[in-house]
Amino acid sequence: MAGTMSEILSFVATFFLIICFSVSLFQMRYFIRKYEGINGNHVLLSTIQFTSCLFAFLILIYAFLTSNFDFQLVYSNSHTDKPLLYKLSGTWGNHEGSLLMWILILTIFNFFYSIKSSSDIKLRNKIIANQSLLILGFVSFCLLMSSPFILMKGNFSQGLGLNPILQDPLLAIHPPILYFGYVGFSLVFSFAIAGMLNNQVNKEWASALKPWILIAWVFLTLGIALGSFWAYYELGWGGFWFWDPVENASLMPWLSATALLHCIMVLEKRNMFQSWTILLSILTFSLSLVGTFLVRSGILNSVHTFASDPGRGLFILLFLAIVLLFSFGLFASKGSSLEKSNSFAAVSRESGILVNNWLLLTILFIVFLGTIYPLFIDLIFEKSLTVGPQYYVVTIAPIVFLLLIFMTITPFISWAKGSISQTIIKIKYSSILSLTLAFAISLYFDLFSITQIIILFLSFSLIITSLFSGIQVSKSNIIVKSILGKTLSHAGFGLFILSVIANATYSEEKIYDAKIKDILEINGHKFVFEKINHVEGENYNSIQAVFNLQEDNKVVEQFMPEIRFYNDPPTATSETSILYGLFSDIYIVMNVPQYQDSISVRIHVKPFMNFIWLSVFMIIIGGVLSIIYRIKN
Amino acid sequence: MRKISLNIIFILLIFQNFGYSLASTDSKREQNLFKEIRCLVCQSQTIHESNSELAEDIKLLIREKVSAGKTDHEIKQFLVEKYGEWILMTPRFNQHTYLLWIAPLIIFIIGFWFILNKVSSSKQKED
Amino acid sequence: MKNKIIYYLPIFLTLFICVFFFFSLSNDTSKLSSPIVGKEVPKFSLISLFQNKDNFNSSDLYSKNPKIVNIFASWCIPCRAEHDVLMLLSKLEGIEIYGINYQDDPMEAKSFINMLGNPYTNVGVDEKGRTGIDWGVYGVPESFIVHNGKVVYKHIGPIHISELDEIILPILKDLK
Repeated sequence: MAGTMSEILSFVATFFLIICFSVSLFQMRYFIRKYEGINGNHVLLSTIQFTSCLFAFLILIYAFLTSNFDFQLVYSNSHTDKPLLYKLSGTWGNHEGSLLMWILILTIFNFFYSIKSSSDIKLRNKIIANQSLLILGFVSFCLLMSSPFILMKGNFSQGLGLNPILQDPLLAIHPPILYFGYVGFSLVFSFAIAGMLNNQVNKEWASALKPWILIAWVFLTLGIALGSFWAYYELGWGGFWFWDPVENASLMPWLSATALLHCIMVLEKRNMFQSWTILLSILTFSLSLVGTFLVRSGILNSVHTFASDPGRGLFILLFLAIVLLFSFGLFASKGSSLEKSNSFAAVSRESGILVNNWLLLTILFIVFLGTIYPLFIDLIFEKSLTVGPQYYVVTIAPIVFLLLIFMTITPFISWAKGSISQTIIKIKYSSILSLTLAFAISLYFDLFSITQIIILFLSFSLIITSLFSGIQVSKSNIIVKSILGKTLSHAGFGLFILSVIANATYSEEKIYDAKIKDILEINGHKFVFEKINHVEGENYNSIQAVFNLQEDNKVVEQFMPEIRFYNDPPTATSETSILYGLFSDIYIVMNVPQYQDSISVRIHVKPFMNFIWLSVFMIIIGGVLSIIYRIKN
Repeated sequence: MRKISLNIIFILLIFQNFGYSLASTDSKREQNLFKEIRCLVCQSQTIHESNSELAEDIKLLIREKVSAGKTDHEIKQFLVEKYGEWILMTPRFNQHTYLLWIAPLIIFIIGFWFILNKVSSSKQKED
Repeated sequence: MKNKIIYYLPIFLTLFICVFFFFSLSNDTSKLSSPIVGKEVPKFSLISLFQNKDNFNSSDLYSKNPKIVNIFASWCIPCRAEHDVLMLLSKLEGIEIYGINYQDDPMEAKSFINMLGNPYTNVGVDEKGRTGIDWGVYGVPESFIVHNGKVVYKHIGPIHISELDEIILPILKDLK
């Protein structure tokens, strides 16, 4: 029997969730006409929603930190030998815990919106009501089907441990950050519903909404980046993006959100594209939900699958279906009345943004299709099919090509009626500089392929043109500084594409069966296999191979890849050894030892990785700058 | 049930030693082939990336067939006959995959049509 | 009117996708259909594990009586687990089990059989595993039900006693 303390904790935590449930139910009163205009105690109530969930979550954290195996969740996912940080992150490294975190973040956004909102009262109330509806739904799901506070029937002094691959600092913070992204779009969704219900999708609505889109977008981008970086240094496959279904599940809302970010600019400036903005708002949040559903239901094979539990999947599908049918139903009836048309020329900022949306959403469609196609084929034809990375690369490449071009020129086209000649004048110098650079680099590195030169030219154009406009702006006054964020993000994107292509083209890999004293060569680098160490870590034993990178017979760097053997649960992992160089990374991974005296290793040379991370950093900082600017005004 | 036994098989397969030391001498063509064949007992890895027993076996098979003068197409066809279409990382263009390859183009065109529509209807407002 | 219809598009698409996901959930995607089912057995001729027996050839599998081909190895733990089931199966009237010893040391395989019992009419030695690949094998153990030289059913993983009753025996009965 679980101890009394645990019973109390479980009861109190569940009670807190019920409080949250009740307050959320009460907040939904704003949906009723009678209460829609009330300027009541929404701040207090949102605070209660937030703090009650927070306390429930803290109780769960406490259970994990104290290795309280009376809790089923702690028993299944933790172990006394786990380092403290991973006991903590074990809280959300499972289905129930991450669901509770999802709920907590819902309440966090609800709370911050309540205290910050400067929207019209009726609008604000509906937004809070919708958030509360979402909170209600998720808390119900949690309490009914996925409670983290269920107690064990028996006494257990030790837990079942956690997959050692998940015991990693980056992976510990990746879910929370990603969830701030996913869940942030719940508020965007609430804005959309409220706007539709009140027929208030206008400039003020757009202005109030935009910062929230930015915040969620920044978190989502950062979350995706962290996941990719983790995959790079942990999985040992040399890559950082595999078009894995769950990776795709995070990319899809990102694409939709980016399209929304641009679309809402038109709404703000020229009071157009109302229904499209609403559609994207609903779509982005739906994709966040779909991402959750795909992960948790286990209908896709992926390294991420938490629980192959069709029962849970069914509930989420039901929840998703209700949310979507309700919102798209509302959209069907209200959509046309929302739309206000304004005029714009074929060559204008507006049409440029339409092109942006068109390209981004085509990529979104491709990612979606590729991800669910195997399911589709399995269902209809009962055959198994693999949609690998090549599919995505081949289909998306031409679109990225167009994206580079339009991202470069559109910021220089005026609103309503732009002029091609004017635009050309503005980008004249940066284009010439880019072309020169492209040719110079091609000549210097002996690149003769036209495709390579074009790619260089286009990416440089984007980077340089964006940076130029940013530099001009920062000389003038603060009002114009608003575009600094945008220029940095756009330049970052250009750098990203360039680095990714360069990295893919020039990466090298060699596999060796190495005996001690062997010399391994790749790309002009010489490695000497020095020795094998046996290491004892906190909760593992490992075999470590030592390789010395030599230049002119002097040891310049040491690489120590390991194979680690964990006890609970019994698993073996391969730890990479990476040298992060300025222009190139060197990456050594050990395969499980085959013979006593020789081991199989892979050596990767991965150029431009730093530039990839830098470019993503630029994209994120651009977003942050935009948020800061908005808050200051 | 089957998933558990596959996992057990997989873990066992990792720890078997049968000394395949040909890896560093693979030709570019062989390496490219390896990158196109899926490792069937791993989670979304190619046989190039995988170290599992089955991956090594299939690599050996491919090396043999390459030496015997078979074309890439023949080798892939052989593997598909034994293991099914899903052993290929990139889906081929056949009756099951028309939709997969053509739909993006269709959507692209539909999107373009939408824009034209929007622009022209907006121009009408202007006049 | 045309304008209004477009606003109904998202809800219809959503309905369609939800239905699709619903069916996908209830669809058991773990059943990987093997392309070898329904086809003729691959051609092979393997030296027998037993000194006193002839080669195990693919021609041995062309008969009206259904036969079982079991891919196994001495180093494979699930194979040990299913061995009792195989012993049981081999005692049934008219059932012959053939083994393919996959990527194994013949000495180890022989002691495996000596220790746990021999349900096999014959066992072919496939040290390199090439025949295994011809059968589309992922790993061990796997078993095939063969009738008239055609593969009727592929079983991935060890045969559990419940699966014997629920799946294997009914198929064998149908074939008789």
